Amino acid sequence: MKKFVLFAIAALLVSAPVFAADSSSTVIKAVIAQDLTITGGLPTVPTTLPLSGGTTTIGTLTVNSNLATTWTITISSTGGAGANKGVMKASGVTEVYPYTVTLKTAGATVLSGQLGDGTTATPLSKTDVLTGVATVTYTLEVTTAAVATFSPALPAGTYEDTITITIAPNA
Amino acid sequence: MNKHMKKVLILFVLLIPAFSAYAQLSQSVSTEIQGIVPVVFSLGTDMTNVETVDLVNSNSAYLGKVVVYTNTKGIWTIVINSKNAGKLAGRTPGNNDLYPYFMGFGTVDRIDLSSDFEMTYSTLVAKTTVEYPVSINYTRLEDLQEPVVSDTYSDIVTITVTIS
Repeated sequence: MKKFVLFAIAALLVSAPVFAADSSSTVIKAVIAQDLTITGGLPTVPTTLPLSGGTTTIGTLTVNSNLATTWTITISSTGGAGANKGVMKASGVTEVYPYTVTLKTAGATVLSGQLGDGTTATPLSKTDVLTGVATVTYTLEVTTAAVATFSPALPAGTYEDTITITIAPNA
Repeated sequence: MNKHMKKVLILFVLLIPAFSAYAQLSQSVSTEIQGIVPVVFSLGTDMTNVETVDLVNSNSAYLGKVVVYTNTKGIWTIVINSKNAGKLAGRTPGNNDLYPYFMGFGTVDRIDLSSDFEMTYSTLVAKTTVEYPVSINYTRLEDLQEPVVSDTYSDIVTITVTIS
């Protein structure tokens, strides 16, 4: 009986250092990439505004975000390869057809105003958008005056501009 | 390569796509708006259907004006036609007397309407409104070389404007 006890103690003393040498540890992690994307979108075909003027809903776009920080949304005029500068223009016509844009979410106005006067572009930006992990739907509206109210009248033609909405994370 | 080294390398490879996604976060969408302004062309006048002139006491009469408006560039062709070839005709059946007159249209005076009068107006400017005063000139009744019998004399003048 005595012999057995001594053997067990001896075995434990010897094996303990060996067990410490074999241990290892690792770190596991999951990396979730930042996401700031536009899904859904504005019409891909031109939206014809009514001659009677007023506000026209162009469409909606949905922004998905998981950013913990703020991001920026910008509306700009990009028609005529950037030459329209916030107004609708027609080929061969010097007169311009002005408009204003309004971007709303949940009924609240985020951005509103003209994107330029035809000579100088004035993009609209909101730089402190903070949504966290969210999906936000924006509605784009365009408001014009009735063609009949222009004096002198607008010459016949198709007046166009392209509106671009850009989202970008803040540095 | 032991187990530790393998794990470290795999973790490093997995991180690369995450940083790449951050660099591509900026996104844009575009849409086009347009306003189509149609061609507007109008021809108006303040003349009534029947304008009465004084053949006894006067040798001319201002009838009114013709107003042409368009918001497009082009060439206007104006044609004036007289039903009685530039003469007022007696309205009573059997009365074949004619009362000659000349028309004034815009800046053109003494237009002989024995045949259609045609003029063109070219504009390189859209949104043009042009007013053409219309008048007639004639010989007073008592000065006519060929007197006419008492009657009501009339003519129908049609003014047509075409833009091409």
